[in-house]
Amino acid sequence: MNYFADKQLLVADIFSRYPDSPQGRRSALMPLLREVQDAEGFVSEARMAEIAALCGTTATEVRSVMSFYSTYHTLPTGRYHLQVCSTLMCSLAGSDELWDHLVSALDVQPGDVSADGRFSVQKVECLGSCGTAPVVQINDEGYYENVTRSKCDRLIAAMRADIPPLPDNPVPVTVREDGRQMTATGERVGASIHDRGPLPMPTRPGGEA
Amino acid sequence: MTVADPAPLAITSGKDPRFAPSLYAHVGQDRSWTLDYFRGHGGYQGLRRAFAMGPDAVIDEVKKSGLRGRGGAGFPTGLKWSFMPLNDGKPHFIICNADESEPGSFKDRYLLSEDPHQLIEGMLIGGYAMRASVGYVYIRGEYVHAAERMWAAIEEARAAGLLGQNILGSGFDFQLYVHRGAGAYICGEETALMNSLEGLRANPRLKPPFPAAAGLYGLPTTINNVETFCAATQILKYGADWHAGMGTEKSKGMKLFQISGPVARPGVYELPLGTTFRELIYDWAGGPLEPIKAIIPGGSSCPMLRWDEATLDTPMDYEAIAAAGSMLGTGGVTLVPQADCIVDVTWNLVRFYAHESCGKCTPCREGISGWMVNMYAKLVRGRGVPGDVELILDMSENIGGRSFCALADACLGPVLSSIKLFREEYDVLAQTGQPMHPPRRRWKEA
Amino acid sequence: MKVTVDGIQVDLPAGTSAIDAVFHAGRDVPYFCAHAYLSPVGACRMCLVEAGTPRKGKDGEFELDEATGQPRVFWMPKPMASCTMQATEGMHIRTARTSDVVAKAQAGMMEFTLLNHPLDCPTCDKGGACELQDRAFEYGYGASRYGFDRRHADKHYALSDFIILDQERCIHCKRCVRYFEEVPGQEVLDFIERGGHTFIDTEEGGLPVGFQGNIADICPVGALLDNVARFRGRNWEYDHTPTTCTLCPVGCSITVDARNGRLERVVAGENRDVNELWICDAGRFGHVFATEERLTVPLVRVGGELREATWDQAVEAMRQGFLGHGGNVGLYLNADSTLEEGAALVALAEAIGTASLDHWPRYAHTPMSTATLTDVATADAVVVLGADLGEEAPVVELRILEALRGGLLPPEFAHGTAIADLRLTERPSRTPEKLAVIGRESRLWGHAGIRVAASGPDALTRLARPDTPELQAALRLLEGAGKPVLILGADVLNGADAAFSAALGSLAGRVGAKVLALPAGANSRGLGGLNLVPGAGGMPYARLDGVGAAFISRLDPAAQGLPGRARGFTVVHDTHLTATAGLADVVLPAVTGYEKRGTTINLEGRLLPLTQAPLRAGEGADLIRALAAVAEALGIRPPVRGLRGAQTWLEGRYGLRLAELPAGGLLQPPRPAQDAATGTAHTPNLWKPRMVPHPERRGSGVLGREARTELWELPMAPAPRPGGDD
Repeated sequence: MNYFADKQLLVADIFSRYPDSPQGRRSALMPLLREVQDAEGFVSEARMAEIAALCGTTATEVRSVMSFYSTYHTLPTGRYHLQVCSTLMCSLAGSDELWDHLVSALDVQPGDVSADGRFSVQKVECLGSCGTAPVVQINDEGYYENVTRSKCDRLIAAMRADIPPLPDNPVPVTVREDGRQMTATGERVGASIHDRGPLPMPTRPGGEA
Repeated sequence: MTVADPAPLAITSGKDPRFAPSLYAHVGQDRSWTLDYFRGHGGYQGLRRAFAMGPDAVIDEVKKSGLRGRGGAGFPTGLKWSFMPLNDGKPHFIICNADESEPGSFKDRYLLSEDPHQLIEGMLIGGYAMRASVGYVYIRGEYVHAAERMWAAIEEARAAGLLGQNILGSGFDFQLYVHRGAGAYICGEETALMNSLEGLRANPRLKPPFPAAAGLYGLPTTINNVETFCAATQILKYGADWHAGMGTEKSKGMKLFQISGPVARPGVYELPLGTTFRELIYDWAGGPLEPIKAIIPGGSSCPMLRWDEATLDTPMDYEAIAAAGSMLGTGGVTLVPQADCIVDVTWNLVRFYAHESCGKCTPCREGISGWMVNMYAKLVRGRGVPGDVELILDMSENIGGRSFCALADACLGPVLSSIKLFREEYDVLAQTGQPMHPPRRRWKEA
Repeated sequence: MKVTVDGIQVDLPAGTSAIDAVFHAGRDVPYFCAHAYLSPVGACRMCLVEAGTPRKGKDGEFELDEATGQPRVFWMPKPMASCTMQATEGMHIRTARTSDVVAKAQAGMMEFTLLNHPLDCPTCDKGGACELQDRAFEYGYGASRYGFDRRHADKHYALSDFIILDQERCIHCKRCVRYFEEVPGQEVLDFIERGGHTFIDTEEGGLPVGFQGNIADICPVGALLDNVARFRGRNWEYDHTPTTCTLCPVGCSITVDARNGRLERVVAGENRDVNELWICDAGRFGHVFATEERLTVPLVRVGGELREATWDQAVEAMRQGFLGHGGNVGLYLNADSTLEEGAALVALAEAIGTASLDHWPRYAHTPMSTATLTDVATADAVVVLGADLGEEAPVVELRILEALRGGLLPPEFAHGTAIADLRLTERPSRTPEKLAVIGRESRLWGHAGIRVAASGPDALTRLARPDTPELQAALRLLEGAGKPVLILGADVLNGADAAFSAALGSLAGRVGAKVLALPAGANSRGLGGLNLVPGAGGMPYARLDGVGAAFISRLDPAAQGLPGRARGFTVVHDTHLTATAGLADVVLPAVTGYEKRGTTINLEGRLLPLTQAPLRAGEGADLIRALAAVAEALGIRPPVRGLRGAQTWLEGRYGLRLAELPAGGLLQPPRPAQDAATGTAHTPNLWKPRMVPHPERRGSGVLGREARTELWELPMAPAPRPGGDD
């Protein structure tokens, strides 16, 4: 069955972001792959051929591009595809142990899907959550950050019950109204600074600062 | 080998009374990502000022501000903008490089998700100055939340007439779209990013031609980092003089520093360039939680610096860190604990670069992705032999400066610096098979 | 522009790449990814050199070195890839000969290149002609310090029936991928995965037949191999014979590799004016007929049955057979015969006094061609009328595609074609709007901006007076172009006559177009120029049953559904026992186009030499010698008895000097050919049944695709999987 056959509006919207030329059509390749993967969890050969036709290229090119990027899958994944960051900053926060714990607790190896179809796991490189390490990303969705052992176990239990918690996106440091930076817990930082002034008045249009 | 944990010295940060956070002023505030919030906090004032000045004056203003690219290379932004051809009759593109993938960097993620309108305004200003009609925000595939916030903000801006035709009555037309990556560090390289945006494998392209002459779809294109565009918003809002008044003589303005590793308050801090490591680590981030032996100063590709008084007193600006033998990079500071094996730490980073090598050129594909990663695996698994370190050094000489793009050199940053600073650890491991610092538990229970 | 390489100063045109500067100066750098007819990419990093340039001061003059008074050279901080660097005025370049840095860089890079390359040179077909082998010997360390297992992958992965990929040997130079994208314009082969896991593959269920074989030539290692020639011989065992392909009128330069008298392989030769460096798959792989089931001795019909005989017995049988037919003898030859063979036949026909002589295939009337292949490649508009280039003249298709990507002909230097033409870019932009195809659907349709379905010779009239918007667009294209070319193929030429030529001349004259009428056979243009067609009262090929006795050389009318015998006596001269030979009274063994010396004229009127490859042909004889036997049987003195005699005859009658042709051939002015009815239409068909190779029959068969895929799964670790802990 043709995936995009009944999604003309979506396809048109994707194409509208890029120039109306053969090169521009080709740009839709990655967004279209993403659409399929979001819906089906992976991209089959039939879908590759379908996308190739839409983008005016060949299945060879689609497979080539797709295989270049690490987040596209050619094989089905579990309902919860857990991606564990393994790069240094998470590793320093214990992501190797987190990985081992996940693999043994879920009884699934990378490349496989657990017997109940729920879980697949993947080690990934830096997810940009170094300040809130370690991090686990579930499916092509949000991050679960500061994943301690107890948080990890809570996550597993929730997914097993098919009520996954919403992704958290903690902002580790914020700025108060008076311009002072503080941590999410309200702790003041930069304690030695006493003589900070507010930002200047914005310059008026046309005027100098 | 042990390194004494130096006592914090006198703190000097924030002495400039004019400094207060601007890039990060709204991050973490309630509904800071909405247009209402942004407008209520002085949003789109910089854009109005830009429209009043005219495009050439905007470029001059950015030049005058001393802003340099915040993605890592530190190229003067105003100069880069001025490379775009004038009146050549072709469509121009601007691209925001939001493919933040350098390990240790996580500033753009919060800018995108918490303050997307700041970026939209910056791209409007850049697009206006560079006569671009279309902009793309290339967001790394894993930043799903950020991409969703960005799309929503673009929709809001479009509905409010801030994107589209004749924006704010200026006669300027501009469209902005999000393009999501799919997991490839190399897309942070601007020509690889353009290939990716064109639906191709993200191999870097030959330069010349440079993007300003023939970039996306062969048309004039300029690519800037998220923080750079956001800084442009603030420069147009508060003026070039305000920006140039912060930082050091050659490294002007504020910078988002990120700190990770065993430190009390990891996170993103907006500080003037020239702030010392000591201030960032002790005063802002609350100090290390355990003895430290090295600092990775600006993302994983920047050579490590030894944890000592001289390093701690090094100002974090382009010149001072270069003089210390490393780079400011993205400003992502990582602390490497004393108790971890430096070879293991470096292996982790080598694995990263091996995984991210695009495979186009021989030294990176075979040298990094093939040989280097195997050498480290062999060492860490205790199967090293004397001479292995010399071999790594000789191999590095054959890789460094020989590859097509900078990815292979980026891998050599941690490799060469860790060998230089901690040769003893390497030698002991190669000769005895036993690391000086055995593996330990790092994962927190709660 | 003055450039100094290792102290040698050379003068070069602006835009020259540093690698060409090095070679022009007589120096050397190793390279794998650069290729004369492909875009430079700088991927293999072997061609590193040190480079320095003078700088201009504020006064616009070069800054001078105070000690020497010469411009001061500012050396770049690291070695540069010379294939992607443009040489500039005053640049200094150091190669490994004068720079230890470069020597070490190249040796180190060679070590990386060889890191995962298997040490199976002793069983590799490329051995002895391998760029990697040669360069490793010249520039490598001599030993690897890589103490780990090499990457293991499928060594017998069939990309098609013709091309086998050894994934372990691939060094990722990307020549093959770039070739498909840039030359035939097909996105059918590309890298899969990335980094150290990268390998090449197709997802099209096999590479398309057309021009795929060229990747075996350009692969710098033994990764892509010609499956028809696989394991058939080592490079140093082959006799290499450079010659001209006679399968179609393009006249591509080829090298025939024979071993022990067997033709094992055909590889492309370079002729910048004709085929550049590319040949079609038929020309490359369709050679098996030269060694399979050859007729090696004469056959004579005895008691209703063809029996092996000696040449003397055959001549005797012919003497008796020709008795009573007098001058009523027809002489027919294949249009791929050489000019010399044609001369011998014309001379014999004159001696006999017969008007029944003919070559096939040909058209009754052939319009004059004025365009060269270079004109095609540099045209700013091409209109193809009634041609299926894939069947008629495949390489013309490549030259048209060359025009569509800018018509950039690579410059030439002391060392030959530029190794790195910096004007060529990866994934070149194309201008399909400059190509109109009018006729039946063919492979070229996919590249054409204007497509019109049409058939028959009135397509020309319709183009001249367009009746549809598409035809109007095609005409506008011609009218608006500065140097358009009009290419005509079988579908319009079959019905062409003088009126057609007049209409064509008028249209071409009006729009300023050059014309390329594709000849029906490889040397139809040459043979037509010898008036090798039926004279008044003579019988054409299709009516050879109208003559009393016939001599038919390397034609198979019976298989075409035409009369296969003369009324009385029939002699067939052929390389195989064809359907027609099976009907003949006497069969003489012939030789193939690979075994001839002589000259052919290609579609643009270029004289091209044929050289004899040492193939085992038994008692097979070329046409000149076969005709001498016929003359002997007829009891007349053959007017042309050998190659030299034929060339003298040709020089005497037409002023052709064939003995001293330059290597690239010699363009002849068009010569009007006499019109003569053919009695049948020509249907172009490139692949004749005997040309189709059966690799399994040759002992180098490969697994079917399913089995291949299974194999691929096992050794290539990372088929993209969810997860993947590496």
